[in-house]
Amino acid sequence: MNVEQQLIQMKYYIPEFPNDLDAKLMNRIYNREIPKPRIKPFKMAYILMSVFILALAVGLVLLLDTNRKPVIPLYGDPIVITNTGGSSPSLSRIFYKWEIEGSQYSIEDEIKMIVSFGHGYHPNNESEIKMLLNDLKISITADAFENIGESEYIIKDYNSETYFIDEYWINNQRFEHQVTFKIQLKSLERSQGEIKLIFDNYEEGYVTSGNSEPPRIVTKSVYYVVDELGVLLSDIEPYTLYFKSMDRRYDEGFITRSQYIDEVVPNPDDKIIVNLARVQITLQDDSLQSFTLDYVSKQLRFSLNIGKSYQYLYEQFMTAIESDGIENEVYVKEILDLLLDKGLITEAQHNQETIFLLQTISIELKEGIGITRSLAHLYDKFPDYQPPEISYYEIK
Amino acid sequence: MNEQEQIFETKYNHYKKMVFNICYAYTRNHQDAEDTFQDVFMKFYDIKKRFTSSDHERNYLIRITINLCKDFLRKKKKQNTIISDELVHHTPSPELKGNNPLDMLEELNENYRDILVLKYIENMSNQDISNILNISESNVRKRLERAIKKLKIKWEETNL
Repeated sequence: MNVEQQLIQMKYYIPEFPNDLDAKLMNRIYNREIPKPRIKPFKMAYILMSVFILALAVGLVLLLDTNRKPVIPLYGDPIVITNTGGSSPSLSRIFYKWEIEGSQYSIEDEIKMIVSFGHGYHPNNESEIKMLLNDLKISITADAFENIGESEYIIKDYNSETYFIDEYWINNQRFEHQVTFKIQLKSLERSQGEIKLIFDNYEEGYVTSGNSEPPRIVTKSVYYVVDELGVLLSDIEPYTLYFKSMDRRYDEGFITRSQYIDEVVPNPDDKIIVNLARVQITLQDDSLQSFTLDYVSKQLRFSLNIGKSYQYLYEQFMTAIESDGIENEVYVKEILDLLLDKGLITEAQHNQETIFLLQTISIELKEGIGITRSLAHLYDKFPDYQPPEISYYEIK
Repeated sequence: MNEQEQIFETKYNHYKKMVFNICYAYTRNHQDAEDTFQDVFMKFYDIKKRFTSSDHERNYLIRITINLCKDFLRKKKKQNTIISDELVHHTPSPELKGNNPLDMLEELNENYRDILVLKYIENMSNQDISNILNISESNVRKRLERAIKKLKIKWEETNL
């Protein structure tokens, strides 16, 4: 038998499949003990390291997030609540004024609130004031904020000179004392918070003199603009004149609440708002040079000087951006392109430079407001635009 | 019996003879073949691999079998070396004695042995062998020729 024949014969030398092998195998497979996986020490180290890295990453994200700058509302700044009216002294014998200073706060900043109170009409002497006020308690509650300083003041010692400041205020001498509250935003998880100022323990009968009693509890909802770019751009050309004017007119009763909301609270129909506001006070100058274009949308809110060159606008943007340490060149270009695309501004050549002009917005004078402005209802052309989220005062 | 066990047993019944034959061809010992056979199917039971075809599955199982057989032989050789060092005589298995043509495989290195087992025990084509061993078909042919040539030389030497 040669080699090939022997190779062919090989398989016949393999024995029959053992009968008991099936049972042996099945028994071994189904009855074996499955060892519990042990975590080896180095694997545990990997796991711990992963957890540590994850925690570090989360921490970094949170840290970076705190760099966002929430701000007090851009409209009507600073916040002032008073029972004294605007142009004439209050008939109330107790007056108070509650002010929130500043316009922008980062999360680390203290928000300073000054409460002034005193005797508002025909001040006589300390004993009368003492009788009126008794032990005046002023306290503050502020959800979404934490108190940095005192949250409550009880004023007892009216004889102390330190409490009283002689002032002349619209031809009426008054005594005034100020207490200061300091609060700080707890976290950026919330972009708004309610601050409640409570006056307590004064004689009702002396508080008013013909007027209704001023509220003992004053609540203000503060909305924060957390849109960083919007804040940034607003810094370039802050426009508060118009809204300040509207605030004043509302405070003084020249316009109704609904009128105020219609005018100041933008975006009732969730549309883009384009305003033209005069920079200069002189009404005679109605050239575009003296106006700013205010643009409010979901993502951003900003003012542009009309008639300035592209280069000027761009540099303004970039200066503000660089000063804040943010490189956002692309975003800025997008804004300008957006305006161009929507026909809100058009390019033109003037003195050998490219400028942007408003082509479609008419200027409308509104009697009595004190400034010139126009509302360009161009937003009707953009039905697909997403609703903006605008920060505004809550009108009480 | 759950679904996994049912599937496994179906496959087991289909492949068990093939696997046992290969195990025996390599080990040439009944007990060793049984042990290796069980190791192969233990491993096969545990794998979660999805096979694209029955050929894929079969080839995979054959590769496991060959590898485990080789591992077994290496371990056994090492053990035998240690025992020899301790001056204990190793008694070869009864099956290695006599004119068993399977003994010829011992004369060859692993590469040639793999091809001869698959070719003459499992009657596989060169193409199947090339797929299983992941070598080209021409390589299979060359190895086959060389293996036979080596065996012929060995056979002639033995019969002179």
